Amino acid sequence: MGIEIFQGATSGPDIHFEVLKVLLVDDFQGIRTMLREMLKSIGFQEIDQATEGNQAIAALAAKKYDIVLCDFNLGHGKNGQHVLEEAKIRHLIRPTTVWIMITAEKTMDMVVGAAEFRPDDYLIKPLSEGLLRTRLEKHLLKKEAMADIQRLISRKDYPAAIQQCDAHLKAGKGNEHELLRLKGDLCLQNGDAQGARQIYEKLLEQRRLPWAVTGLARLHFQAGELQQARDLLQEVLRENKTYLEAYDLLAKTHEALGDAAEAQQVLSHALELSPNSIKRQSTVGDLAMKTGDLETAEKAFKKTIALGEHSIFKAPAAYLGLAKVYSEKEEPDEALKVLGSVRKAFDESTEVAMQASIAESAVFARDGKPEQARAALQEANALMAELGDTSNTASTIEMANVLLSLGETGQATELLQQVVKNHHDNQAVLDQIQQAFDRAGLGAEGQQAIQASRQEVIDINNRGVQLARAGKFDDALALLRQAAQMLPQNARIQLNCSKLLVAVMQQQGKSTDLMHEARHYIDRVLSLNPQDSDYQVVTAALDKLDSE
Amino acid sequence: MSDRESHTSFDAILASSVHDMKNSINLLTSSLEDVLAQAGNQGMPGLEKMAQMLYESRRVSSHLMQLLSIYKIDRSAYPVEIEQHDVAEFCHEIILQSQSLLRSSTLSFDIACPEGRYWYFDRELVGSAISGAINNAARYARSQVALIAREAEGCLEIRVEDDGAGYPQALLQSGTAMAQGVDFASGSTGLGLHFASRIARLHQEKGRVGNAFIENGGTYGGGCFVLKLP
Repeated sequence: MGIEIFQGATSGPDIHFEVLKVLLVDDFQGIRTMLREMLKSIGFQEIDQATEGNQAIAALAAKKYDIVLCDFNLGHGKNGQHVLEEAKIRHLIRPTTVWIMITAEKTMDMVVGAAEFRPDDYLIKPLSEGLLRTRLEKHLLKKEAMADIQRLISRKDYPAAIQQCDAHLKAGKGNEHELLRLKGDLCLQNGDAQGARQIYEKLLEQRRLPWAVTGLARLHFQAGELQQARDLLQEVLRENKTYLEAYDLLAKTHEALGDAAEAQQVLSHALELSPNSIKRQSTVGDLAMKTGDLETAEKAFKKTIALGEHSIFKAPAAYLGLAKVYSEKEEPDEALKVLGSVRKAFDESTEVAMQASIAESAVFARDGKPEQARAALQEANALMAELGDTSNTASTIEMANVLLSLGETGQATELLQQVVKNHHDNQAVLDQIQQAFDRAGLGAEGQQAIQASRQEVIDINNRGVQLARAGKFDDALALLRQAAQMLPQNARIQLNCSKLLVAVMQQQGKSTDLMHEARHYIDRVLSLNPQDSDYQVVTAALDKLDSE
Repeated sequence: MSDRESHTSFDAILASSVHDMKNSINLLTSSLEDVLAQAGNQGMPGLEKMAQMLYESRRVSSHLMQLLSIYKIDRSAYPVEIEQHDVAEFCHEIILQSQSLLRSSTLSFDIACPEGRYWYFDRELVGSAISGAINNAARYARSQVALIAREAEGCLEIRVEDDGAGYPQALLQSGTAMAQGVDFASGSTGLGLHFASRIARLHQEKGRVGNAFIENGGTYGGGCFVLKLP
């Protein structure tokens, strides 16, 4: 199989515990000692300890462990789930690392609903050596068995990973439903709706599995069949009141159906079950802002900020949201205080400083202080220039909003048109821009400006195609290359560039430089839109050229 | 404080007290297990008494855990996770958890379960119900206890059977006991059975619902605890 995971510990009928590295995390000395003794008795030799969350993170950053036994409750500070999430996000553990969460009882708090951040198992106290050994053996062997699939997933080679799943299924290697569930997820990731649907429907004939029904709902959602998605999810939740993933998707569906209030209701219900989910609180805050429910928004953003203290998912959005709430409640001083906090909390981020400046200008503008608003905008502009093309669309639109409220229509329109050109085929963004114009009473002018900018980009694309068809490759390349440079956030243009390069090479033979350039554009596409699947056709063509 | 508020805060006090008691009892249980393990077969005087103490402390722990679970399930605050599990693996784990109890007794223990068969159920909740039943069976058995898992009528049937005197008629007739109130005089398994019924009912599939009941008979003609999961 190639790389030996677990350093050969699991090759053969007996597991060689002595070569495996274990990390124990528990704030209670008694438990650490007891676990240490049990582990030694089982045969482990390399056992490290940590007494609280930050120590655990430091240990995980310093060494790659094969096994982590972590208590969910670690006293003050980070809990076990926080540590796990941070470890996964920062790649401090391998996909093959076995993570077991130790807990006195299972609570909703633990099972926050994000599948990719679940531990491999929970062990309920009181612990016994026999059970610990049995579970560790089980998980080590399982990880070993799934290592080949996991490797392909880590490389994002989903088609190959799916094939491996099939191989395992055929060989009867492992739990059939678990493999099918993984295969279904991979099909979804790979954009293979048909494949995923077949899996879920076949399984549902055998048993009404909530995740399979939710999988079908996800397919409907992706296909834009929102009412079907909604109906299925409501069914699942009637039958499984604590199935958090379904709440999340249902809320998204309601939002897509234009019903932000209902989305908010759904998530609020989920929060009653599991209030410490930072992502859910943040989303409720956003939804409440949309529906104008400032009270709920304030509570949710405040909770999000509090939860952020120990979480890797701490983000500036909740601070900015809270500042907006205060501003709309005509409490500009509170708003500015929050913006001061976010600057401090993310003091190394130019992006956050820029967002804070824009938010400050909005607060000043609303508070009738145009001079200070303009000063803040200048600050924001300088920072945006520093950031180059990595500035985010939302910030630019926010800036334009403030400019419009200050009467700077020209500047605002210029900014917004640039955004249009960078996202000419993204209806959500175009809608936001239209709304900005509408709010300033410039609906008609806005529509014209948007249309004009959209057309500019469409024309570039069309001209590129025409030139290519006429065999004028150099001209086509010059045109599209320039467009890609001017509009670095336009994924379609980046993609078209790579397509053009493929066409050129298919005609004129491959070249290392052009290959490199084409792959660069595809990387840009994926960094702009990780969910994109159009790139695959181009990648396949490039691979084919490469092999010739 | 309004009536409702005081009711809610008592609930919370109750829950955290139960949690606290559970921790205490667990310490007691593991200490007993340690002593019994050390004593081994040395025929120490009082060993039988200790085994009985272990049985009682496990019983209290089990009941506390079950009370907490029902409390949470009623409030949709328990993360019920009906996942696929290997039945044989599950049965072996149950035995593991009851190991010190079984070793300290003179009972012989049988286990019969299908290999390579998976079923959907909440491992912790069902595990707790079965452990409780085993603890009970060990108390009333003469010399044999069996854990049997098999498929019957499209359900997974998990049985704990003993060769004791069986359940008294009154208990068999009262159904799931809790509705009629628990008969403390007989040291009945009212709560245990009620809990088992509650969690069995959490398991539903194609209109069929799980259930738990007691009967006399089985392999040894003694008491049987049965849990059926669709």
